[in-house]
Amino acid sequence: MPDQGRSGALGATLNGPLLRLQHLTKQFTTQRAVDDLSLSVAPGEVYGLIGPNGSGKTTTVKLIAGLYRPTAGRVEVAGIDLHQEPERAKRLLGYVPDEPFAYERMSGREFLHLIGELWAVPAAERARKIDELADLFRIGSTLDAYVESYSRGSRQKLSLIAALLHAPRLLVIDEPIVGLDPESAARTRELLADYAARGGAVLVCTHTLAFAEAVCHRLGLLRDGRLAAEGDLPTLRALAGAAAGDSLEDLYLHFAARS
Amino acid sequence: MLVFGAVMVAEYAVFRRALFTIGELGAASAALTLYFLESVMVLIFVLALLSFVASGLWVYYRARDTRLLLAAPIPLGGLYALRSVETFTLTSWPLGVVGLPALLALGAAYRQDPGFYAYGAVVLTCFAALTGAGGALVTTAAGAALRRAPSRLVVAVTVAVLLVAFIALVGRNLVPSAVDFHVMFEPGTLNGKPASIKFIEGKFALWPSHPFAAALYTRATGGPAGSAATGWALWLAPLGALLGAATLGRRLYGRTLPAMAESFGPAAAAAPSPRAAASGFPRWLSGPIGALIERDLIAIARSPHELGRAAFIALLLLLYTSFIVIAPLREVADRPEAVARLLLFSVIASGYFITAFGLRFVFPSLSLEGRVAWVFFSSPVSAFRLVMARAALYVSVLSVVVVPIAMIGVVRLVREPGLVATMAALLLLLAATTATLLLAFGAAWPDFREPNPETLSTSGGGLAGTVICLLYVAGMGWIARQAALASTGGGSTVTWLAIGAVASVALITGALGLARWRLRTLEAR
Repeated sequence: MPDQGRSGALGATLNGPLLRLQHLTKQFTTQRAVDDLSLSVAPGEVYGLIGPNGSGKTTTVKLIAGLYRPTAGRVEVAGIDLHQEPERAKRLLGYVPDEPFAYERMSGREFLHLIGELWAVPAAERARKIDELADLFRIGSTLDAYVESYSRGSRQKLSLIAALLHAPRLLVIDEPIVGLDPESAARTRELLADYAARGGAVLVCTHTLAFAEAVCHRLGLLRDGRLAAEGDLPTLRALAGAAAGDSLEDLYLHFAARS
Repeated sequence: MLVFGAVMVAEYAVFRRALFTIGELGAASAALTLYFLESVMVLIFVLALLSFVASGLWVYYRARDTRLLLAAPIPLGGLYALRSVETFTLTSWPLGVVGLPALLALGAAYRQDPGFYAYGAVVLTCFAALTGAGGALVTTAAGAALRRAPSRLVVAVTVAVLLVAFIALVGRNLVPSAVDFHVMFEPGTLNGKPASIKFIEGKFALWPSHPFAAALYTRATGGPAGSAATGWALWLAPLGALLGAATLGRRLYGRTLPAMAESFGPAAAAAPSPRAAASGFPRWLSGPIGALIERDLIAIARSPHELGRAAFIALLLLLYTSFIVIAPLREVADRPEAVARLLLFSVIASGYFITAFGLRFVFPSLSLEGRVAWVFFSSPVSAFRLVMARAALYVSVLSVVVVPIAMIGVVRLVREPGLVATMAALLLLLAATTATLLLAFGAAWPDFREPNPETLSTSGGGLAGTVICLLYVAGMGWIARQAALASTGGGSTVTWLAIGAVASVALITGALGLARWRLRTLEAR
């Protein structure tokens, strides 16, 4: 697990956590997807949310991104209640969905400019950042084609760039490396680590345990909408009574088997 | 199904009445019955073939499950048969909607026994086989000529070319002129003998539908129609078409589909694809709301399907406009009741266009965010601000397009400046209220999982919006009529304008309030 950087440009002015979930509950018609969930992510921290299918990870992420409204509880972004002051809170938030859909009849560049305009990034600045991030993810050559022609990986890169474009203080990413080639996956890992080192906070929801182990400072194992275990790797090992060399996959299987 | 059923019942009633009337014409009845049958069968043939090609180009080559089925251990011949059955099922509606009522009406008019209906069903089945197999042949031939999976634009152009060709053929050869009627009926009228049907047979002889029309005519009336060759063609043409579709069509499909499957979707990423200019965005508007509105506009401008729908509504509007310009409105300008009725009609016609456009483009606008709704919901932009901006856009567009056209008719009818101003104000209120109401209902009851605007328009919210809009349009028409009567009676139109304004403002306020309330708890599901 990486070292945690707590100071930097992105989180410099905040003392408390950049993300705080308090007793968050989401009840669908017949199913409680998230059940009294509380957690927080500090500036400089990458928090990994892992768990089996249907454990409530994506619902939690959608609640944080403002796509769903909680049945009970609160989502705070940098101390701002997301559902009381959504526009203020969302300015600080970058979101990458699990399915990276974008407007099919727009070019990737147009889409990114639209995102920049929605988050009030000045035109010149966003043009520069688009080129910079497109170079980083090696997507520059396809950026002017309509999104309808993009592969899954290109769409994933596009939504990652879109989330980073306005330099958010909190990044919420649902499955960050699905569809990415190994090189781009490695770049994403470095980028998230660098982002956290500069004071940003990241909540990553993933099934790729090797990625989570490499990039996350703390992990939360979600089961039936509740946190079954939480902490850094040594803490999780201690909770599981595992040996020092046990991987996150061993711990995951241990907690999953216990459930 | 209910709509189709209602249309079929109405057609049966009209056909039956027409055939009974034709039957009373004496010398001309046989010829007119054959003309009726030939026309109906040509209409079915054209509609069925056009529908088959329009749907077939998509179903055969671009259906969503094409790759899945290509990867499955299914022979291409089996896939071809599946696509043919699917397309035929989708596009054989003209046989049911037009053919069946015509057959039943023919049987009723000529008092036929059940044997006639059984024979008619066999003839229609053979005709269905001919149109279906013919459609499969034309579709696979077009597919082989295109060599790439057809885009919506290509499908639209292909169908348009076929449509123009059919219109030219039908217009030049089949629509009877005064000279045709003279040739058909005058000798019979003079000597009392039944009019000859040879002329009609000659007109329709080259249409593939002719043997079927002739067979039904002969069976219903007892009069001979068609040659021995026509009789054979009744059975051999469908058989030949089926054989052709099963051999040539199948071979063409098997040869073109694998190559076509590579020309669309993610596999085609490396192929040249439409590209936008590498400039910034938005180009014409500014700010978050401006960017979203500009995105709405380019989504329509870059979609041939959306443009086609807009063009169809524009075509109807054009026809209405030409009616207003051509109609001798000035001749009734001195008859108050006629003027009042025409103003009522003008308001209702304008309301119809606004409602039709609104249901297709305004009501579904929030729902059509669809799977990309995450962009909007996760952004720091108020949903209600977007609704208000869209309301401003659509009200402006509809006011600029529809109101001046309606006012052309008003100015030709009315000389009183007060009434002209009242009508202009009522039409502006109509555009503003209808567009706002449909937009607000669409925002209050969105469905992000449904990508089809037509299906969205017939959802609960869409139907409620339509009913309210139509009642409102009728009310505004009545107000326009009352204002016209008051004006020609020397009274003031201000009272009626005030009633219209109060009703409109109440509806706008209520609809926007409803949207605002619903948007507070809206989720991107």
